[in-house]
Amino acid sequence: MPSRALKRRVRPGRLPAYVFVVSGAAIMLLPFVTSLFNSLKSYADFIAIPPTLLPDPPVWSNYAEVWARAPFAQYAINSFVIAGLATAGAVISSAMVGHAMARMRLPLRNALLTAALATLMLPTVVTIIPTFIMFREFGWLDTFLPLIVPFWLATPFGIFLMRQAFLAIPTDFMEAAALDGAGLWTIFTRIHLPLVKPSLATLAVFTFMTSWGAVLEPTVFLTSPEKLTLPIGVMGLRGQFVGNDQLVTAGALMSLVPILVVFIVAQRYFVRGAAASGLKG
Amino acid sequence: MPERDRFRVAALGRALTLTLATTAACGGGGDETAGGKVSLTLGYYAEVGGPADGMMRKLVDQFTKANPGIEVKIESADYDQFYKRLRTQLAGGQAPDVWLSDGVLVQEFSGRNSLRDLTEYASDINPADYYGIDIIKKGDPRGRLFGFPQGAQSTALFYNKAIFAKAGVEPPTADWTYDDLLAAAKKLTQDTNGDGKTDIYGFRAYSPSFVESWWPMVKAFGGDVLADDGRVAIDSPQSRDALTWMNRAMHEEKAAPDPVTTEALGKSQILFPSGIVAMQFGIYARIQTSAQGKIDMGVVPLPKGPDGHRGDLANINSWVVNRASSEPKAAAAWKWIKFFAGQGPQAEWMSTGEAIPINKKVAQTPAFLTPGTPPTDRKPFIDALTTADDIGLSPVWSEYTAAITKHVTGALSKQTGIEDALKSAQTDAQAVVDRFKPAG
Amino acid sequence: MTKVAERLWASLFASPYLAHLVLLTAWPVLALSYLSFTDYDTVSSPNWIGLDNYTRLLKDENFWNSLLNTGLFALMYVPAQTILALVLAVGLNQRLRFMPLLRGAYFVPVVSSWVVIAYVADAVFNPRTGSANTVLGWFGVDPQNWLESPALVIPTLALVAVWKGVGYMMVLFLAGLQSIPKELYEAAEVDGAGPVRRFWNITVPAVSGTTFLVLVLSTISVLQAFEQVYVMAGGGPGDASEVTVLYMYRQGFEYFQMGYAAAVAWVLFGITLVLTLVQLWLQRKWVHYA
Repeated sequence: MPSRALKRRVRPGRLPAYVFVVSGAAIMLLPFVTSLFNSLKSYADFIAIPPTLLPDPPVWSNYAEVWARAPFAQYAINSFVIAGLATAGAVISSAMVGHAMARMRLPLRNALLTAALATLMLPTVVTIIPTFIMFREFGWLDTFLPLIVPFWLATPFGIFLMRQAFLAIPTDFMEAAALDGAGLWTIFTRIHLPLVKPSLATLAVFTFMTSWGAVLEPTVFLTSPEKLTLPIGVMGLRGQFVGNDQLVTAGALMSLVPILVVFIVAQRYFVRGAAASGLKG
Repeated sequence: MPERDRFRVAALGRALTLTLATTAACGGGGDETAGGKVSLTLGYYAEVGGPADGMMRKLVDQFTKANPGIEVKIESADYDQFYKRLRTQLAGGQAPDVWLSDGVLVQEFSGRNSLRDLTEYASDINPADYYGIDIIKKGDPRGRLFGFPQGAQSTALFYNKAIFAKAGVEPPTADWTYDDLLAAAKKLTQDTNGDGKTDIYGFRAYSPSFVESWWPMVKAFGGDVLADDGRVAIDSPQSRDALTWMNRAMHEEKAAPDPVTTEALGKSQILFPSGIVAMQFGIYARIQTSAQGKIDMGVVPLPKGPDGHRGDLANINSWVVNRASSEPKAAAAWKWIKFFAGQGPQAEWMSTGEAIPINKKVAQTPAFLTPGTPPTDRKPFIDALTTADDIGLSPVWSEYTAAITKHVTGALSKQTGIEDALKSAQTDAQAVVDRFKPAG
Repeated sequence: MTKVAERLWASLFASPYLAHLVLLTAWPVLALSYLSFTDYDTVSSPNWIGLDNYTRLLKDENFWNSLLNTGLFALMYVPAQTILALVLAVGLNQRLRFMPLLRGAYFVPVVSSWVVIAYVADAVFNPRTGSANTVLGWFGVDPQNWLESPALVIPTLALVAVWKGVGYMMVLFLAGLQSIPKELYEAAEVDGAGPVRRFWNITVPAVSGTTFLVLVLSTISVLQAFEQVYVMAGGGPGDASEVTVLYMYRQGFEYFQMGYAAAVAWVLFGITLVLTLVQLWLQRKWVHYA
């Protein structure tokens, strides 16, 4: 067992690693702490000269006021429903398509792959008007469908990620299974999917974030106040003339809570795999 | 095979043209009536859940109670999101039947045939009872009425009473000239803590919100931005004088923060509310932020330029009616517009502090003119409103003003010379104006 | 199973994407191509104007300025993001106490939408109140105007983009690192290779596939960085941060020139395509697939 012995020897060198990782984490988080202070200021305090770091006194009612101004709980539910269904759709469909591209005799495979790459390069800003017209024809305006259904049609990024993941599976797995006479679907669901779990998790998190943070599409497709999503709700707090940056900051931080909870719960599924196997030896 | 392909492509092209063409024409949503009621989609911008949003909803309730035959569906968002969505909705033929338009955008929509001409409808009211109708009409080359006033903004000189008292400077008066303004600004500019840096500036000269900065100054010095014949007129000796005055105040006398300093101190709209500047040109709505900053302020008319012009500007935010909406909907929309312009609703709307009432009777009440909170005398806004010019209204307003702003800001930051900047501003803005071809 | 049946199955698997291509790619792309040859103003029906939009594009200084801004943004963002993500991934790929919590910290900016980031970044880069100027002050450096300074706006945007995105790219690298057999490191260590040499000779080549993915994704995302620039800088000050996709948005949505915006979109699309093809071609020289 030479490897174990080696690893023990490396251990005392952990201190620099800690310093590096912890200071990096601090850089990531400190801005949030500062803006938390900002969110607890009155407007006069927010614009005061000279500026103050700590709110004096902290105006906790900013949060109550934001909460009272708009149905944030409803916004959060909407965001969860939309992002959840979008994520499920993207994972399922991208895995299927990625599998077809990596491991099946798909006609025009390369052409489709190039098309996927090209699709990735089309900014939503330019496609929004034709897309809007299409969804209007479907009668889907002011419903969640335009924000969910596109994800069920496989995302280009998902296809790439899953194709890459399926390609990494040695082919003999597949051939062995085929000899056993197992159907393609069985190979897909029973053998291949479990092998690409980390990629599925990565895709799920990525899609969830994309959908959760989207601004342009929900702005354009949703009009009823009770159907809005969290980021739109936060942006809605901005006034044309009124000085209420402190309120918007409070709203922005509040909108962060649900996704952070999701992330903390989900992170063991997609980071643990990576980290644990990194230590295998 | 190739023959068929070509046919398909042609058919596709036709289908595409047809779809895009019809989307513009058809519109306003389907149901004419829902259960015998006219269903009206009403769009406006406001900070969600804020006082203005709440008041608008309250007024809509009052309106539907008084008009049981009309059902109102509200589509609101903050300013930015509202227009982002509206533009897509217009393209897709789904815009609201009636919406609140920023005064400077009315011509942008009407110039592209999106709005209904309200001239006929307005025959049942007396235009002399309201502020702003002339300004809206002036925006249209044929003098038609494409929007009806909802609330008005005009400009005045705001001053911070505490800073004036402390510095022992006489407060501004209606007779001030630009020389008086600069002289007072110099006296008010101070380094209060002795660290060698200015802590209080006398005046805010530069702001990206040009209605409160170079535009009225150019006009006060006798210049213009967009002439009445629709041509850009920014490149003139008068504009040069105005910008020279501004640069003197900012860069030589250092009595006003220059653009770079303005950003370093926080954005231009927090300078007055946070007490960094003693005076600013401000529109009516700026009272709100200044009050939030707990400033005891007064307002007087803008100072006079060399020839006695004040260069007052007014922006008339307006209700506009979708051209694609059906007759019954348009009639219902007009009912709403008239309701909103009435004395009761205008008085209620005034209480939000967003705008000057457009109903003259309401604007003449003590509740508006001498409200008891600073500024206690608000008549200067009314005086300005009655003599003010429009802000160079045009179907390409956003684009041509952006072109001018870019060059003027360069001159005010001393990146380019004033003469060159005005010349480029003229050329670029005129090119924008020339590019526009009015819709049929 | 016959070949035909296999192909049918494969097509069935791929069918969601076929629908995607028709509805979400072909239709908008066709519409856009057509519109780029018209004077479509989003309200009235479009008129055919031939190549006018494209010839105007060539002479449009503002358009070239936007390309320059986009290029600057990409040059600052893409390499910084990629290198930092890899270094962080190596740093975090260890068994340390509180590791999940620490890794979580790197993910907080990732899961925040741009709206949130804009307000949080203001706490750092606000010229008056932000902590960045406070920190500079400790080192005797003059305060800066960051997002309000023509010279610093793009670097600041790039910095914030890296801060927000690095956690995600790091996870992609973490996944890549797990596939490296530990034996390689152990053998190198026995041979007397130090940590830096092990990083260069083993880690970097082993994750080159991931590096490629990260490079392509960052390039595409920076060329489409609309939301960030829109909410954080709005193209300003002046036009110092007006990137191409923002310019396109302004033309199409604020100035009612959707036809022209479509032409801009095509040029941007062309540039993205060329850059990606170059990266694809280059990857053959440096990417090692295990």
